[in-house]
Amino acid sequence: MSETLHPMNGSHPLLSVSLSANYPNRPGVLDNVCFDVKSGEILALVGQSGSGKSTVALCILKLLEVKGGSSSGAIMFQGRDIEKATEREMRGIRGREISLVPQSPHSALNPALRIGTQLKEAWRAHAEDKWESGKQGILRLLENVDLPADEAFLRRYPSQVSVGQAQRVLIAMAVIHRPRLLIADEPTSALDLLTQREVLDLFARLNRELNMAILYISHDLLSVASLCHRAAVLERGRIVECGAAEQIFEHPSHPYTKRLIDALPHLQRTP
Amino acid sequence: MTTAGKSAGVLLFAIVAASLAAGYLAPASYETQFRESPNASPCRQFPLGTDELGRDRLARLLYGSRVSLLLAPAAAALSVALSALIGITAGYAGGWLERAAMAAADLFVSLPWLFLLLTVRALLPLNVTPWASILITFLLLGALSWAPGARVIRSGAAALKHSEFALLARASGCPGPRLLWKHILPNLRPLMAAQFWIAIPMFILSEANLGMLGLGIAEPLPSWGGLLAEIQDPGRIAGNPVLLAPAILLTVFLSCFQFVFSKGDR
Repeated sequence: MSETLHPMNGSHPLLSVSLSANYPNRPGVLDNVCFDVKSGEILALVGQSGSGKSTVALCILKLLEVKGGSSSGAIMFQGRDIEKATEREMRGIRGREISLVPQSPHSALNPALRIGTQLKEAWRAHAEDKWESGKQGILRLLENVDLPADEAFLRRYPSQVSVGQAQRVLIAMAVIHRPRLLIADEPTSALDLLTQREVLDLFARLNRELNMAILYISHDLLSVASLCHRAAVLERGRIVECGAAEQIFEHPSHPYTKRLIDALPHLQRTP
Repeated sequence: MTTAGKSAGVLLFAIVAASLAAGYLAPASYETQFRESPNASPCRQFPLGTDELGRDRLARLLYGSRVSLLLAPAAAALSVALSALIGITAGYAGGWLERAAMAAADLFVSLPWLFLLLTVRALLPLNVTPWASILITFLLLGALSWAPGARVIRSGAAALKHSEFALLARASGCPGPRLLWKHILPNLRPLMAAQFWIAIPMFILSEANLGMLGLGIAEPLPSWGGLLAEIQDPGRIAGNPVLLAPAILLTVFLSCFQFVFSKGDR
């Protein structure tokens, strides 16, 4: 627990969070949640539905107000407290320094805009140069996330691509500006197992190639075990356990973590 | 599309084309007065006869169609633009602005529309040039009919504001105005298109109502409303059935319009 509260060996973590959050009709959604994300690491935030995982993501991006909530505490990102940043400063950080990959691919893509337009908009938010130059980069990026890198694909509407492709588009959109931190909010929950595997491999590769830290929010312990370096367990707005992923899965210390792990389905049939 | 739908479409197209080809189909100008033959019956020179000033009725009908068919879509566009402006601002901004805009909309919707239209038109100067009267009618129709559309568009904008994709656009650093213009507006286009097509027949009828009461397009410029004013006296129709031509044209146009466009919605 204590290693998560303080940066290790004097080197600053990329992100260090200490947060409380409330919704008007639900106080105490987050109750002094503390954790660090080190540069280039994949940290899992695990917990069941309603434990406040997505609220953490919104807090870090300072978008909780959009959902009507309010937060307090400190969010140290690259040595500065962005909890106190202005909306204008946050606009410069969102999508460029910290990106979000949301949960449900099809509702997170705008149904009225072509895939290409949405990628262009995400690129335009932090780029001034001509679209032609940006487009080349985006086509390379699409290739890198195993999507068809051609004009025809850019002209499609979200309803014309599969859910797996839509999730890859969202991932590509999130990494356009090579952020230091990617927040993935249950990115695989809408996907079938094979597509899930591919998307997890993609996250691992992007983490390696771009040296991009990932805050991987999930209730899916199996994907967490295969992808993440460390894990923090969130129960009803509190972090109950935090440590190396293997250690948590092999020797869970908190009863809640034990229950989560015991709830995993087994392939053996009971006689 | 069914055969009936197709024929309605063809008929609509024919009416629009005839109004555009007015100069060709009826060589006389809509205001030329043939003093030697007022109230002429239909003949070779005047297929629909002449009115009491000796003006060619066919020319007046065709040019009048042009005015009515241009005025209604233009006023519909103005009305939708106003609805969108007010509805999107209210839905996106929320708070007191939303409450004020919707209270104004509620008030507008609860006023008897035709009565409001007539009253406001009667308060404005009536002795104006024909072109000024077109402009006044256009502004009046557009400005008095924003309320129902604004309510529909407001609820659409409010829902879109809380959508996942709007949140994601924010999370990728998109500023508020750009979010509105690039992400939310395209999703409201179908709503706005529906408002536009609903308003057109309504405005054609409203112009006809204003015209019949002498509050519409000023003489000598013809319009469907102005031409209908001539058949207010039923006694005259018995002697001269061609007087019904504008009424028939209006009815045919509106039924075809409803047929084609309300079918297209489904």
